[in-house]
Amino acid sequence: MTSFMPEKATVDSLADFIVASYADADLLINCSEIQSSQVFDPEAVFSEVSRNLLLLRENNKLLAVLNTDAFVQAEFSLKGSLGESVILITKNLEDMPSLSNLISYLEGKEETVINRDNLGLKLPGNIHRRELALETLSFPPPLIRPLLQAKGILALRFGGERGIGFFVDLKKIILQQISQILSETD
Amino acid sequence: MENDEILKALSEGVRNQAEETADSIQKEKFILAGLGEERYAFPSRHIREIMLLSELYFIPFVPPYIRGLINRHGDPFAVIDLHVLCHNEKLDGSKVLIMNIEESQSAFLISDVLKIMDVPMSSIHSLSAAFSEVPYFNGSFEDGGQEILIVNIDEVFKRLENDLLHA
Repeated sequence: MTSFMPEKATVDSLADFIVASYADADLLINCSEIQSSQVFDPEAVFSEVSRNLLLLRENNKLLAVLNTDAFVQAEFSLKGSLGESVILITKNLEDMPSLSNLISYLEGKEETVINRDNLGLKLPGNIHRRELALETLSFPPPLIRPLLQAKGILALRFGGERGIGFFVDLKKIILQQISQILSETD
Repeated sequence: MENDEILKALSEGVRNQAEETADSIQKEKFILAGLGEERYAFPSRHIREIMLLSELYFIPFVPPYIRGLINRHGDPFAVIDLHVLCHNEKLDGSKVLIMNIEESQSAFLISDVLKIMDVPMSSIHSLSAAFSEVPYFNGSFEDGGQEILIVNIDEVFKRLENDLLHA
């Protein structure tokens, strides 16, 4: 049986995205992966474990926060994010053993309890929520699609403030960040 | 006229006709494109469309000779810069040749289309020593006293696939 994979979404449906703008492109994150957001408060920093990992005070626990902004700027070669930062609190990360390894490592290091249900992602403060028609998203050209998908870019969208947006696989980006952090601690 | 003469005339005529027919079949159409100061021939069978370059969008992770993406009727096409492959310098191009290759969604950056021409296969020769080691060309022909290199599209894509595999 031949399967047919449409190049563009033909469904006439909408989805909510969080849009983070950089100089060359927007990053589009599926809102369903995010529980909440908060303005980054430097006063709430408990410790800076590495340049890509912070621990923030959150009630009686600590919240691990990945510096996704720095990661994206370095790995995606995206320029610019000035001003304040925000923390996106993720959800549905239960099936991520490397996150569990990271939390265990941090709990051993800091001798304190760390939130195991959520993870924070530090992103530029210019993020906004936007409802987008799925038909405005396209798969990357087949030649470069496997590479981009392996790096965490699932689809593209022309338009928006920067002319192009990358719909990212948030879990893949988190995994890459965690793997980078754990390799630095070895 | 003797039978022999008739047969000889017939056979010569037939041969001439056959040569003419073969010649018309054995021509290839090329798009002669300027890339800065240089001129290259792209086999027209690989070209679907010539487009003005309006905006080139950034794309991460790809080799430097993929200059970015263009928006062709809502679909992203990867733009390949042959100038980067050959000279390691970015071309300030203004047009793109949209490729007619299944499953590629790619285009070549050019400065301009100079002409479209039929070139007899007999006029296409192997590369001179100066170019024989560059894999992205697979032949050449003369036009206006200048050697025009024929772009080996398959070889460019082979390089691209290999680079993407190891990226």
